[in-house]
Amino acid sequence: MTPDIKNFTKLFDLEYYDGPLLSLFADSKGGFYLYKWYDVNNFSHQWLVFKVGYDKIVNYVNKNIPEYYLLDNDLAKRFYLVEFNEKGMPNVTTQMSKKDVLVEYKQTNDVYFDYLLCPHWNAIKRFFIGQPRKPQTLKAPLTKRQKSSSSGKNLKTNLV
Amino acid sequence: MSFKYAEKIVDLGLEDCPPSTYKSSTFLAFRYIFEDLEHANNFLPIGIIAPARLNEFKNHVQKCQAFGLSFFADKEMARANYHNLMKKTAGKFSKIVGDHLASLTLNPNDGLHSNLFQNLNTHFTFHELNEVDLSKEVIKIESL
Repeated sequence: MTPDIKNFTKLFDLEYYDGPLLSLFADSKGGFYLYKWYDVNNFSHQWLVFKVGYDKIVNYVNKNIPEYYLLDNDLAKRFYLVEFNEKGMPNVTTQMSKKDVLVEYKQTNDVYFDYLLCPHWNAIKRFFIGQPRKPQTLKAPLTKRQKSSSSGKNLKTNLV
Repeated sequence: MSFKYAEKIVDLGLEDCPPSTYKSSTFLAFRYIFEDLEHANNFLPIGIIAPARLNEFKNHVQKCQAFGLSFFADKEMARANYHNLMKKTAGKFSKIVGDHLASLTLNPNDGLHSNLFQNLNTHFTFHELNEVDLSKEVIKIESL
């Protein structure tokens, strides 16, 4: 079922350079979705929209995982290619296969969250980590138990 | 001083834009551009470029910065940032900003800039004065 994109609420821009490149949204049930800028033509921008879990976001902003694992996450079963017009309304929705997305973005396997590209860094720290700290102090290597845990709550507890 | 896009800035009710903390200096700066120096987007701020990229300028700072241009004070920082973003966007970032780096000397007659060292990557915002044509200030263009 196609998600109700029109009713998503924007939370933060995770990457931004002269406009957003990776943004976090939430649906009405509290599920997280990422909007990853995909392409541009003369009339519109296209975005990849896909689901992501809390634990992946926490790990990403802590630089424990590269950007690739935001795409290669268990919740991201469908990737919607969404075109927004100049007023920001979604126009066309198609789907890309996960396999194609992962092939196209294989280079993200060694690129990590960069707080210098994140205009909402302080808010993200409060939201996902609990209290503001300096970026270099946030990275905490995961233990085997943490890596195998699928609970965002556990990750948060261990990181704070 | 009269700045470019002043009418739009007034229409949006933006006071202190560009901010009074911005300075005028003479220094070498670097900006991503398209190889064709005449490309329409080379020296257009994001508040003007169409189509817009889901921009949500919520606060005063963001709304004002939308009428300024992105520059770097350090060439290697500019290059590193570009290649990082190229990886993150599967090589498509260049479709937004171009794939060349322009070097130009900004001076007080061109406009005002934010703190050059506020960001570790030396990114800063520059507000142009009216009738300034920064394409004429470019002294070097190199491939990124």
